[in-house]
Amino acid sequence: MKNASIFLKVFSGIALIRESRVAMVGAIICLFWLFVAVFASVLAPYDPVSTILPMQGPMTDNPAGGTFWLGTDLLGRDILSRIIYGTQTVLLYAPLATFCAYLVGIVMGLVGGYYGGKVDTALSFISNVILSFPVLVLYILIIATIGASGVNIILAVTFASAPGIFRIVRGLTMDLRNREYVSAAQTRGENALWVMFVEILPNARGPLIVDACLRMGYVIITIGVLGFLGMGLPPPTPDWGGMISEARKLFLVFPHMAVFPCIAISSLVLGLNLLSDGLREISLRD
Amino acid sequence: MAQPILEIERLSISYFTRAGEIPAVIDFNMTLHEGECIGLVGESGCGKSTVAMAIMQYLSGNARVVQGSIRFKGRELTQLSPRELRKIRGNDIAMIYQEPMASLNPSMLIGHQLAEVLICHKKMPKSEAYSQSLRMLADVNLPDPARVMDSYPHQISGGQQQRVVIAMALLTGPALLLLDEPTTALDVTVEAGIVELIDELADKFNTAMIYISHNLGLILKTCSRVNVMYSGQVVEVGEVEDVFDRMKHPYTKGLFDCIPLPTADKYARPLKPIKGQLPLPNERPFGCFFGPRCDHFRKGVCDQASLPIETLDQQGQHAVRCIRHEEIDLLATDLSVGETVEKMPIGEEVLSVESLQKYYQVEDSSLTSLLKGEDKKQVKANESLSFNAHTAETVAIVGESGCGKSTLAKVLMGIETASSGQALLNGEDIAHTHVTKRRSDQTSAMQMVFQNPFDTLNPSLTIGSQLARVIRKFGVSHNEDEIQTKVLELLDLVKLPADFAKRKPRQLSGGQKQRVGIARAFAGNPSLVIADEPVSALDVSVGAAVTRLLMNIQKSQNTSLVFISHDLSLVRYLADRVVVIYLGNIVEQGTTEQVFSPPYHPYTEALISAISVADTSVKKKRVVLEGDIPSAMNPPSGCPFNTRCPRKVGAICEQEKPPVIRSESGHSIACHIPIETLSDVDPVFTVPKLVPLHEKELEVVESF
Repeated sequence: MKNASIFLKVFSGIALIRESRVAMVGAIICLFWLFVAVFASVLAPYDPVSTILPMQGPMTDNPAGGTFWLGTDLLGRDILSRIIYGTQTVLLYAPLATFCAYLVGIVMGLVGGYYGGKVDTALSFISNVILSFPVLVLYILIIATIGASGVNIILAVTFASAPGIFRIVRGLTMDLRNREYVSAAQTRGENALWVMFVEILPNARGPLIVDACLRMGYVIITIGVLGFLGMGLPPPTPDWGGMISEARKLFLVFPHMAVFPCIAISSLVLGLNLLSDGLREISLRD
Repeated sequence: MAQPILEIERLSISYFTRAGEIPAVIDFNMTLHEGECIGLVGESGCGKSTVAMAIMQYLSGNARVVQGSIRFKGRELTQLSPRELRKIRGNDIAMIYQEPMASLNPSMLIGHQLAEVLICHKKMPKSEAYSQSLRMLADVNLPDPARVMDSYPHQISGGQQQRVVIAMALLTGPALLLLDEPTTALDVTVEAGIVELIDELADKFNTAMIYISHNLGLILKTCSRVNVMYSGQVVEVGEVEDVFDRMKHPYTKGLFDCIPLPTADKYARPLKPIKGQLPLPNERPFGCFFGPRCDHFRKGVCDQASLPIETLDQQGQHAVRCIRHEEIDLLATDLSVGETVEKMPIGEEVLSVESLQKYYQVEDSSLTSLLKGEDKKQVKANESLSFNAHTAETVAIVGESGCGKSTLAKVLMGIETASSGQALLNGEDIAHTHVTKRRSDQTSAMQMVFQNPFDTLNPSLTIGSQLARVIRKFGVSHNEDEIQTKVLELLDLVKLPADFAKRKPRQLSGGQKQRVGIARAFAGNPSLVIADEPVSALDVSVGAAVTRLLMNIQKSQNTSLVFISHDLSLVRYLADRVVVIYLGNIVEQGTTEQVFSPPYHPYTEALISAISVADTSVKKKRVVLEGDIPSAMNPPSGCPFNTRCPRKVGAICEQEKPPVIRSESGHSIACHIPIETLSDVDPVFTVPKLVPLHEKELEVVESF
């Protein structure tokens, strides 16, 4: 019974996305990358960290059998395999970081928007201070202070994105707290937590889902940038941003080393943006 | 006869959506002559506004005229190019919308907006355009037109804004004026002024008008002919007197039965709601669209081929779309209306409010206040309110927007706490206890029905879970099975089917949502329910059903009801006692009979006079108030009503608070005018006593 209703929900979600062609294209791109990440070990022709034959162009045959479809890099690692395994890193850290940023942003936004007054002023002030830093400087500062690791990337992204989310949630809350169903809940003596998380938050979910898709795209770019700056995951780990960075000096001679990871990043971000655009379109329709 | 201004023939308009073609207007005919005013009446979704938009040729993208013609002064509007249409719109045909603030550009001076119309359409030089705009503002009775010309829209009140919009529409001397619910967004006393103005203008400028409204009383006041629309079709058309006194269509009759007339109360003439609800455009029944809701429906007769509209008299003035109009006598059934309501004995005191006061502190951050060193201002929302409510009694709180009605509700419900005074609920003071600090039996003892049906339920949760939460919260029951049974009982109480428990609010109509709102309020067996304008956002036929339901539940549960409203005809109908509030002060209170008959407080008199009456036999005295409600931040000294009072006696009104004159029977009026003088006025309404309508010659005149 319970399972059936979950299936129904998923199914109706898919049916909804089908209403917009843009959302459909976005969803297909995202699902493609998700598929790649899940079946990386099956799809990747080589081990992503082992040196095989350095600096080969795309479509070169491996003397030991097989083909380097996208060539190999400076250290002789297969680029295709590295991109495939890199998907895992991106699709692990980007959603996790977005989720954490949302967790913090939503709690701050609900509290600020619902209570207003001094609490709101204080929270808004903190978020404005954070937002006034250039994002990149902020990332470099944080990572330089606490060191480069997966967890620290999540921390940095949370710290930098939560203020933006706070603002969105705060705005939505300030609108929704004046609804009559909120008054109804208050007049039957519900406590503030119930009102915020049951009466207000679920009804703000539409714009938040759209924003989450968009923001996840930004986070993917951020992770790429951090990798490019050498502040991403420690070296042997396949990381799209890191791959581009390594290829930077040889770009004119061996463009393939940078081009393919670039395509990977932009296609995934594009997919998420299309999905978010499409969802917005669907939500505006009714 | 001269050429008509507007001729509409066999007009049909459809919306084309993903679900296919949806006919919005079917076979609409209308002929409008110079200086004539035709009313278009119907509930929401019946196609009134679509007709207006078709005349303007301003239909939304997915709507198309599928058949028929609209000729304006002989020109076929449906075939004009966008360029030609632009010349006509605003110049020959003007339109006035419901929301005045939304019709004016908030960032442009009013004078500039008005002059622009003339500069654009008449190619008038700037100075001339300004002087003509100024004259027009004087014509719509705006005080100090020069100041208004130099104001931004937000600097003047809603009523003044609507006057500006009317002036703007009339500037170019249009041959046709479309008014789409021009007073719905305004307060009753302001509405009375605007309607009077529209009525005057028709004579002054000889403009042909189409007046769209759901309010039959306003139609009676302004129009000579009326079209009654139902589900895209005109079901009855005729002279106002014919349609109002000798209606032939059961729907027209149903509409009249849904509105409380000031000539009757709930005991004498209970409202008779139309059963069922308006069919969705793609689910219209075959044959007569009104069939499923009609008491006179005859299988095999009414559900045959689509019905033509038949004329009833030689001139073709009165026409009706009903196949059985010759057989059924709507007037004969008049006196046998529904069941009568028994008068309930009024029980013990439930709520007693004693000099309740609520001031809000507002921080004033303007430079002048900073210099003066006063950075706090007070909004005096409730000055000193005292009244009480008993078991099974309905107390109506009446006043215009901004008078402090909603603040009172908030204080009673505990969302705000009072500044001083007390409110005893079942003997315990609750005025200073915030709702989170009240005991659950205190919160469940007093519950509220909210105003906006589209906002009253949490859209994310099912109806059943929302009701279950209330039951759990109020500790009515903690056993899961018992809670489920109780939810079904509640749905049954408000006459909704049991499977609604699994539905989400968006699957319900406005009336159904309001029923759930009522069920929620009664879930904890409250001793007092506050209803804040519970039916003002609903259509008349739905509103009547909800009002009736509320009354029946109140009766069966022996609950005390505090009914907040600005609709005096509904108050007259529903309430046992009435409290009239103006700017946070009670100006008059007493039983319904006492308040609705002399002596009146001058404000009550104006409010009663502003009721729009849909009965041709009622004669009404006109008391139209000037000006607007002053701000509660800076109320007038002395009597709060002195700035607008038509019967102001002199300086004493501005200097001293008026004394409260109490009669022995509990009727109290706060006014400087001696009670003898107040008693010495004519009643606002003069109505014939309720007699069988065909014996109207034997009219007995009774006064209220």
